[in-house]
Amino acid sequence: MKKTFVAGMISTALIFGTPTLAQDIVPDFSGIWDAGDLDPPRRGRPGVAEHPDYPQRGTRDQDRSRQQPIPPVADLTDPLLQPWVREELRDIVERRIAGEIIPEARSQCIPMGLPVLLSDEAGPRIIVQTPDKIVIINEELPEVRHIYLNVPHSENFEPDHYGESVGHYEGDTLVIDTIGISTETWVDDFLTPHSEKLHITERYRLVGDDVLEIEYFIEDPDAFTEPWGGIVLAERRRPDEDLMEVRCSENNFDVFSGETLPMPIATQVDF
Amino acid sequence: MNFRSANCAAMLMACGVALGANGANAQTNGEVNGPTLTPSPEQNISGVWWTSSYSPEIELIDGAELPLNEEGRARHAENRVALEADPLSDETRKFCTPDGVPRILASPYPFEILQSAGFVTIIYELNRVVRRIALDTPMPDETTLLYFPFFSGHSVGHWEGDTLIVETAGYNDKTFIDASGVPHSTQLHTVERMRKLDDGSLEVEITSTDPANFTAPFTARYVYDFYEDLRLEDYICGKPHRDISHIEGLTAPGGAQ
Repeated sequence: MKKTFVAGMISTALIFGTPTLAQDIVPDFSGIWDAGDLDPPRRGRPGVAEHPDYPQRGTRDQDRSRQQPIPPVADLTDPLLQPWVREELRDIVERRIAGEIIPEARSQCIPMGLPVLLSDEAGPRIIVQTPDKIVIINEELPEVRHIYLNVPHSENFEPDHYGESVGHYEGDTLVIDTIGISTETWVDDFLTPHSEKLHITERYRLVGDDVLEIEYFIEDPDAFTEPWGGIVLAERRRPDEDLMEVRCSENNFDVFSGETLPMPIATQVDF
Repeated sequence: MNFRSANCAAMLMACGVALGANGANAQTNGEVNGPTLTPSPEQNISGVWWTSSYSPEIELIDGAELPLNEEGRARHAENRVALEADPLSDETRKFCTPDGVPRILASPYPFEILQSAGFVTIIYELNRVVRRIALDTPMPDETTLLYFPFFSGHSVGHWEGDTLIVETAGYNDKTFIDASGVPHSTQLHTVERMRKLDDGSLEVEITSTDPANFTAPFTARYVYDFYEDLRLEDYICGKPHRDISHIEGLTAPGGAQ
């Protein structure tokens, strides 16, 4: 895993000397995509493990079994966690086991953060490709990610929920490199925190006419003892479909409790 | 881990419903490479645009008066009183829902136009408003417009020479025409004419029609400057935003008007 990651870093560095040639055909990732779960990676280790005694049970399972849903609970013995991350998670684990609702990002109408944003939890998303940038718009909230092609990272990027993403094509693969993600985001549904060093590399590749594979690699030595990653598969919708307009601020309920949750509201008009 | 996907099914609107128009057969004027389009210079309106002035009241071309009908005048007066008593009675500002059209055209924040094969996508920094315009396709059918009213409506577009014509219908009635509270109904229908002027700025002329509140169509004009190196920022309700204090006409940026 470590080797793969280093190789990815080197190729990122090389790209600025070898931009995509004009005659190369840009791979077509355009359209609307329905993503699946965050699956384990082909090589290397996946993210934080789930607590063996508290397997997550969602609201859909509840419909069938009439059992109480269980929110995601992390395994605190996972050696991936640096000590401070384990301590922050311990509080969340204990509260969740005790039945407390700890709202995650989407039910509070704040951006989900990577890599959760890549999964089905972030709803359908549209990919818009132009010659010098890519924009990914997730229907819900909505969320908008800007990826600037064939440029280096900025020297002074002010961290925000999406970080700064730069990308390039390597043949049929789009490689996205992201840094500068605000520490207000979590890296998974266990609400695992990360440091300012969080660095995410994504590789987008069509593995079928309408099937997109996104491989992601995560490196954050201050928060995790080794790099980790995963794979998301997404399916393209028919070309005659378009996104809905979904405003989180009209739907900010928690899926476990069904209650509406606090969300960002202006206390004075902006202008 | 997919517990959030239950959210989708529980949304007021079913997530799987197919909407919009097919942009696959669009006529493009420019160089297409896969999904990307390098527009011809004549039809290139891509990039980040930003107004230099703001007016809370819609300004019609030739200084015309808003042709409000009796219903429209009464609702406008009512909205004005409420907004003066409490500026945050404007739900668009309080909850950061989309401004709707034409009000979003007056936004003092920048926006970005993306041109790709078959589509024009406009992203406004203010409240992350996204408008997706399918080119050279018919308007969605009446049922779609009626049952899925959007803040920003449903848009289709086509080029006439150097001008992009954007037609929009299927609006909800949760927004105002402007910040003074001019009302509109779900019958609102707008036609925008977007083109680049000789000095490199972008002009958007918009004609709005709404027989429930107005006696005639009315037209406003907006002009935006091009910002080559500006990047849109994220916008979260109630958090500090980009500095807009240089925008002319803002009486109290970041505070009550």
